[in-house]
Amino acid sequence: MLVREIMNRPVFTVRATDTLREAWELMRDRRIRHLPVVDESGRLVGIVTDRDLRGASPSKLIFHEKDLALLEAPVSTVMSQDVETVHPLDPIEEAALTLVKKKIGALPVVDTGNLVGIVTTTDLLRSLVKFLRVDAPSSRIDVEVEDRVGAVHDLTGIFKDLGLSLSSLILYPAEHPGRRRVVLRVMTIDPTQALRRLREIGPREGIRLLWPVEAAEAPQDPEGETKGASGDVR
Amino acid sequence: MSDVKLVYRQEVLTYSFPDGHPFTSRRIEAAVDLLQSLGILRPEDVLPGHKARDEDILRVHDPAYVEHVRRASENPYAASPVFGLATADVPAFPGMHDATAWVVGGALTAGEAIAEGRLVHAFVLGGGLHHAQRDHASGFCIYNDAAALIHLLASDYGMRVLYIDFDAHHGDGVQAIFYRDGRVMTLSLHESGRYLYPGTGFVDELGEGEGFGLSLNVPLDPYTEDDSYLETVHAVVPLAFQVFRPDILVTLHGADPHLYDPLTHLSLSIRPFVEIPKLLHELAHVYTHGRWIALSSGGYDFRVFPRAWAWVWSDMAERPLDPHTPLPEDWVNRWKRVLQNPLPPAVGIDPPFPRNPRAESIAEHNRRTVAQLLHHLRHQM
Repeated sequence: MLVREIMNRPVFTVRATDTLREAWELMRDRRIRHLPVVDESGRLVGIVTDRDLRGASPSKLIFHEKDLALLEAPVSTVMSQDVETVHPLDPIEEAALTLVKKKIGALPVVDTGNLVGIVTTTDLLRSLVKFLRVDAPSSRIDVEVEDRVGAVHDLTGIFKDLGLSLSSLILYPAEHPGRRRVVLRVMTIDPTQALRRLREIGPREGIRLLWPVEAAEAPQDPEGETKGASGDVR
Repeated sequence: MSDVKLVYRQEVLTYSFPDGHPFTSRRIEAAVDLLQSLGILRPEDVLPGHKARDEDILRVHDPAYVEHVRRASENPYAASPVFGLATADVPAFPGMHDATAWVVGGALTAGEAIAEGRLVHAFVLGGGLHHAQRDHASGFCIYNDAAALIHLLASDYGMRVLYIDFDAHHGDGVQAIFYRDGRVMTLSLHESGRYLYPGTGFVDELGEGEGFGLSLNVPLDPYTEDDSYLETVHAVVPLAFQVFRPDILVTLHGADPHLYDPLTHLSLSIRPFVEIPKLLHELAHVYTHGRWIALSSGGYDFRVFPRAWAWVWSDMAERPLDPHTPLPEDWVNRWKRVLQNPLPPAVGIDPPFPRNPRAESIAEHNRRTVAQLLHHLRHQM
């Protein structure tokens, strides 16, 4: 998935010469926390966040009339000039990694010098929900497979043979090296035959069934065991 | 007991999927047989339902879907997965439109008789097709008999309908059909959709528009046992009556939250299935002038659902049953090919089940789920 598929458009911006009051009103009205700062030709020259503005605002606790004048200062006094950006064709995981590494909350999206959008942590969380959520009636099956050519092919073949569709398949490294975790959502109310097959051929094919299992075989803390593997995020 | 009937007729047995499919009408036959063998069902108790007309099915289904089911009934090869048919769960079979029309008709017969005061309670055997959606089949269900019944009660008789779904799977079809409807409260207690089909039924699914706050869900942890289940039921069910003040109660009794059920992971014994009908019966007499329609539904272990439904009927019809009554020998003989071991010692007793070492943590998690739901409920009181 690419940044351009999840970014916000149009972008609400301010000019470096606008007052902090104007920036603050725009954020409040649009319920946003980041405003790219652009020059008269629309080029990105900085970014201002709700935290920048709060740091520059009069205190709620100690009120002096003259402090209100602080809000008349231009945006240029508090904005950051060294702005991290992304390209609309960047994959979203790169955008996410930049936000994590730089500990920031939003990235203006810039294409050949033009500001074309903005992507925030909220947008990235929303796409996570979209990836992981249950969007069709289905049963969840968790397994661990060997990290080898054809392991997923062998696994999904079981469902194909039984005429069962998958609505979601997530694959990621297991704790043990050489193993992969697979979370499947199978579009059936009755996965019993597929599970029987998995148990039969599992030992031979290196497939270990993690869910569903009998209560006695269940991990003592399934929350911990399946953390991050959830096919559902509600 | 002239004002309590078991709504049932042979024709509903045609709603049955091919060999090897869990949802077969052998289940219904086995249940009726048990009720008779226990001596709690007499011939005069049975009210044969009528067949639903097309306009009754169209109460809750799209014309294009009904038309497709009709066509596929004549030629199952024409069935399309677009409408949820020709799938592993809902394979098309000849005559399925008529078969489902009999099922829907049974529920409507019960609804009319109670709404017009001819009956007080009714137990409808054969359907409980709560997964069927407006425009497609899903999870063994072609037409939604529960939804058609609720629609009849709400639209034709102007009743406020409280629907409580005890199947282990979320009652997603009924919820979706009445999601924006201010006349219907749906409450579903089920194993969490985090793992189990259909994957919905979370606390935050509260309804929309006029129906906001009238869609209630209690997703229970896998391996939930009797005590936690009953605690949950007692915390939520009476409150739903208090908040909503229904004119009539419709309940759906899946027998699949039981430990033995092959499709789910709740760990109940028969005990909650004995106790819950008593609670519902009492609440109906307090809040709905007794008006109560129960529907059978899922449940796929022959040791469980016939007993579970016997308890619904026993209580509703006031035909007391001693929990220690052994399973009738002749019944066991007739059904032994589909009865697995161990056989339960009695109608209302199961052998002791191993207690899950995490039972307390599961109970705690269920309490948290209930607290979240009550938080929402309180905001609308």
